[in-house]
Amino acid sequence: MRGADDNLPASMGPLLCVEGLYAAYRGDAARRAGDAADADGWVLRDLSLSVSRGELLAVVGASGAGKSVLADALLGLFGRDEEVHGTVRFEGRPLDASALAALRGKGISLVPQSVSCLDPLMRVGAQVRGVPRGLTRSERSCDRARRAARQRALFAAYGFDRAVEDLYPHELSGGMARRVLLMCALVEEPELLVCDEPTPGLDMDLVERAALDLRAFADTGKGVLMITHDIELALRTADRIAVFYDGRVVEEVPVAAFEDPASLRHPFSRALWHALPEHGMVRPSRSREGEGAWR
Amino acid sequence: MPRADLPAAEGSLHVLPADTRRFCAPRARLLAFCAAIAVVMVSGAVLYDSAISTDFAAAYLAPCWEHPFGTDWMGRDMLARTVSGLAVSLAVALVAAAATSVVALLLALVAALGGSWADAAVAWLTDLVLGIPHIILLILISYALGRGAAGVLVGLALTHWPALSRVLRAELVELRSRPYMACSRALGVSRLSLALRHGLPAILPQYLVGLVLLLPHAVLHEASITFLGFGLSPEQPAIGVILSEAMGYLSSGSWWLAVFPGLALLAAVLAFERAAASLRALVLPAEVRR
Repeated sequence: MRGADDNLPASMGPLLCVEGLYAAYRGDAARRAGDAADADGWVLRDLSLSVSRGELLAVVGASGAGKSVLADALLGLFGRDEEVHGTVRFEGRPLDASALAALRGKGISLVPQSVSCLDPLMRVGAQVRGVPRGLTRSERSCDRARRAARQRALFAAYGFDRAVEDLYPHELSGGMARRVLLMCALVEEPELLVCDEPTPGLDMDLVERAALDLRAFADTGKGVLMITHDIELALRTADRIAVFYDGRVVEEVPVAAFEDPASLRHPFSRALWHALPEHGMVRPSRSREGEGAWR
Repeated sequence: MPRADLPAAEGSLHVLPADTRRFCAPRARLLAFCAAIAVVMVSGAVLYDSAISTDFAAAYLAPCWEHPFGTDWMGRDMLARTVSGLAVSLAVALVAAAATSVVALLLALVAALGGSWADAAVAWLTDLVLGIPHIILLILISYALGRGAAGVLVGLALTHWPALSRVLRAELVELRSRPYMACSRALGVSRLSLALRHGLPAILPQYLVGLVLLLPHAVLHEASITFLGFGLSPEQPAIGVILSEAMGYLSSGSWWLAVFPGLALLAAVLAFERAAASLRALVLPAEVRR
C-alpha cells in the first residue's frame, strides 16, 4: 500500500510508523501467550502508532497484555512459531523482517530490561563495546576502534570513570547498572530507542534518573518508544501516550490530555485516569461482564 | 572467629576465613598432581635410554637394591621402563584427550546454538558412536590408520567425545534461555559471536573438569589397544606394551614384570580421578556436596 508520505523526504515524516500490526503465536508458543491472545491466537490486533523525532512515546497498558510482543516485532525478533502481518515504516522506508533484523542495534535499539541482561562473566566495558561488525578484518578493526572510542565517550558523558570498565555486573549498583544497560543500546548511535519496562520494581530515585536519561536522549532529536505499565512515569516523562488495550492502541493522545478525563475518548483511558492515586484510585464498576467491557 | 589480618594472640588458633579454607585442600592437591605429572614426564625423558638399553647378563632379576622393580628377559631395568612407559602413555593420553575434548566442544556448540537441524544431526551422530562397542571402534580406526601412535591418537580422539559433548550441550541449552543471550541477539549480535563470546566462557569450568576426567579413560584405552597389538609399536616402552609382553612370562614366576607396571597404571588413573575431583571443587563449587 503506497501512502501519501512515501514521497516525503525521510526527515519530514514520523521516525517510526506502525500500521495495522497483527501478531499471533502458533503451535507450542500459543501456550505461552496465555490470556493475552484471543480465540484465534492473535496477541496484537490491528495496532498502529507513530513516533516522531525528538519525541518520547509511552505505550501504557496492563501487564501481560502483550506489549513485549510489540518490542519483539519492531526488532524483527519473531521466530518460526509467530505470525506477524502489518507495515512498519522507519524513516519513511517500509521494512520487512530481515530489514528490521539488519537495523537491530543500529537504527532501532532495544534497551535491555534488567541486570540479568548482562553477561555475568564479562566486564561491563567489554559488554558496552559489543561485537564489531564487518565482513573483512579491516572493517572489523575499524569498527572495534570506533566502538572503543564511543564507549569511552559514553562513560564520560554519564559520569563513570575508567575504573568502571573493569567491573563485573554483580559489582555495579542499581543506578550504575541501569546506565550501563542504556549505554549498551546507545553504542551504535541508534535513531530510535525501544524500552520495554525500563523501571521494573525500582525505587523512586532510580526511576527518576532512568526517566531523565531517556528524556535527554529524546531531546537530542531522536525518538524513544517506552513500553510500560507505570502510568505515572509515562505522565512525567512522555510527550504522547498510546493507551494499549486488547491488542491494539485504542487512543494516542498528548500528555496534556490526561489532565482532563473529558478529553479522553476511550473508556479504558478514562478508567486509567480514574485509577491514578490523585484522582481517587477509582476501580471500574463491574456492571458489564468479562474482558469485552471496554471494547 | 578471629580475623585473618590481625596478629594472633598468645596461644590462640590462627584461623583462616571459611572460604579460603575450603579451597586450600583442593588447590594443594591439584598442585601436587601437576608436580607429579611433571616429575613423571621429566624422569621418563631422562630414563628413556636406560629403559631401552639391554644387558643380558642381568636378565630375569627379581626386585633388589640395584633394580628396585627387577629386570626383564632382556635385562632392561623395570623401574626405568615403567617410568618411561608411564610418561609415553601419559603423553599420548594428554594429546588424545585434548583433541577429543575439542571435538566434543565444537559438536556441543553446533548442537546447542546451530538450530534444530544441527541438534538433530549431532544427536544422531552421538547415538551412532555410542552404539558401537568402544574397543571395537578403537581397533577398527587404529587398524585402518596403520596402527602406531597416529592410529591410537586419531582413534582415541574420534571415540571419546559423546559423553562430554552431551554434558556441554546440556549446559549450553540452559544458557541459551538466559536473558542476556536474548538481549545480545536483540542488539544485533550474530549467532556465531554469541556462541564464542558468551557460550565459551560460561562452559569453561565444565570443559576443564571433563578434560581431566577424559585422561584416565584415554590412558586405559591406549594401554588396552597397545596390549592387543593395535597401538604403539613394541620398541617404545608404553605401559600397554610392557604389560602385554609380561603376560608371556608370568607363568615362569617373574611376577614383577606385570605387577609394578600394573600398579603404576592404577596409580596414574586414580591420581587423575582425584585431580578431577579437586578441579571440580575449585571451578564448580556449587556442585560439590560437602
